[in-house]
Amino acid sequence: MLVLVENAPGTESEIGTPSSTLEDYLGRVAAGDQQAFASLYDLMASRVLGLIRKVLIDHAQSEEVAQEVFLEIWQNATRFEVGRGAAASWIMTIAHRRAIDRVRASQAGRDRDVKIGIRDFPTAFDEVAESAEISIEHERVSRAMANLTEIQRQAVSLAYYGGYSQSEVADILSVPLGTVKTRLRDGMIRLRDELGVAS
Amino acid sequence: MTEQQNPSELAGAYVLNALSDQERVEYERHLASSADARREADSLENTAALLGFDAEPVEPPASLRADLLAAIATTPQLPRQTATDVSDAVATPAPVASSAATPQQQQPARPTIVPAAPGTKAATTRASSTKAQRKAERRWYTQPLAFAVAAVALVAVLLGVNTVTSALNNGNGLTQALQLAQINAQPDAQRETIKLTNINDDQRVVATLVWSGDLGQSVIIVDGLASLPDEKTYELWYINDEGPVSAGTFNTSGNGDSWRILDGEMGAGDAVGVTVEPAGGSEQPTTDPLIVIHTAA
Repeated sequence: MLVLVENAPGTESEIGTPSSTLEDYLGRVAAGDQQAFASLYDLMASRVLGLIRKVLIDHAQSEEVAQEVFLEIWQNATRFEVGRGAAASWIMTIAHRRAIDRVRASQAGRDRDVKIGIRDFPTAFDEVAESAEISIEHERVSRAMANLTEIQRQAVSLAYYGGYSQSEVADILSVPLGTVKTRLRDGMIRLRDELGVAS
Repeated sequence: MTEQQNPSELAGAYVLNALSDQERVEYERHLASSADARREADSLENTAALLGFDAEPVEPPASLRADLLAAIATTPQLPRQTATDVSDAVATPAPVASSAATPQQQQPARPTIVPAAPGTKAATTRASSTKAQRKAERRWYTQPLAFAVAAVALVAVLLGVNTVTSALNNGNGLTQALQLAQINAQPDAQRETIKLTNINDDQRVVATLVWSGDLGQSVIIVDGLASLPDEKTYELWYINDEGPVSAGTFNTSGNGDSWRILDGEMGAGDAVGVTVEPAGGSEQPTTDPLIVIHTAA
């Protein structure tokens, strides 16, 4: 969605627009603007918490991590690199990293049934009660995921949403580590191309 | 092992955060030495972010926001990066090198990286709008930021890569979508969200108006508004001291979502109202408005 498109010449007009709002805020946050931070928070908080929650499951921990993420955004806004992608992408990347850190740090995270990761994809899309636009995004991602091979899909899903390391993914799927590495990479490349992310 | 001979194999695991700390350090060393690898990692990282947006949004409690705003007031920020940092090397090969090379510290990045829709007056208005912008910002800042996050996120998503898809799915044309993007891109663009409960079915209705005084245009986005039978329609009104002026009609989809650009010109301080009218719309409202959104400061 908002991400990526600055790298695609000729399409900026439609697509770069929304992220510019977020990037404006981030630019102002970098200059210490607390109001801009509040606006950025309002735009992104439910997305950030949504992602963290999906990875961590635990409600209270998720909120803690979301708080860490936004503090990190505040502290690191000065380091945001405009050329490397949109602000939304930068923020979601931080959110995912911190969620994964928390999973790794807490053994509680390990107690989760391995099946959470595996069943995630098919079932996640059955949930309704979303706005139409989110469903459309959903559909796009879900279609792109559907075009992966079974092992690519499981590996990507286990790693990203399940928070499993590549070695753990190899164990869970009972395939060699080398295969997991390859599938994670070619799976992500395929998703990138299907989703029209500029490379 | 083969993976050490070919570290680029780790690109996928890297962006998915599936590497151990040690593996990550090794891979980042590889990244530092290869522009190609950095480009690939960046694009895959952006792809991973799309997976992140695919998670169902979760509304945080208000206390989280309050805690954060209190915390940042006393939390120092990191100093800016210097020119020798890796960012420059990374930015160079990208097609956006010229904008990427522009230090991000000054103003909003918008004028450099996001051209307005081609042939629109956005670009020309922008230069002369500093006063309006200041005014808009002042208003923005003094207003409580009680936006419905979901609705605003909806605007953001709506305006994203999927502009076209969303437009088609809404039954709106590409022109409308571009217009919407243009309104939202204005430096003086503002938003107001209201939440209502439909007393008939207890359904929560969220309506957001995004407007630009410079353009004299606005767009309304509704969520949860029951769709009307064929013989009726929702009608939009610009309302000012001289009374309501029709700004077009719309209906919602099965799940109550819709958005549309309002017809006609928005005057400064106009309120926007929504009424239910007979199919085809009315010259003047025949029912009381269900929704009124005020735009005056």
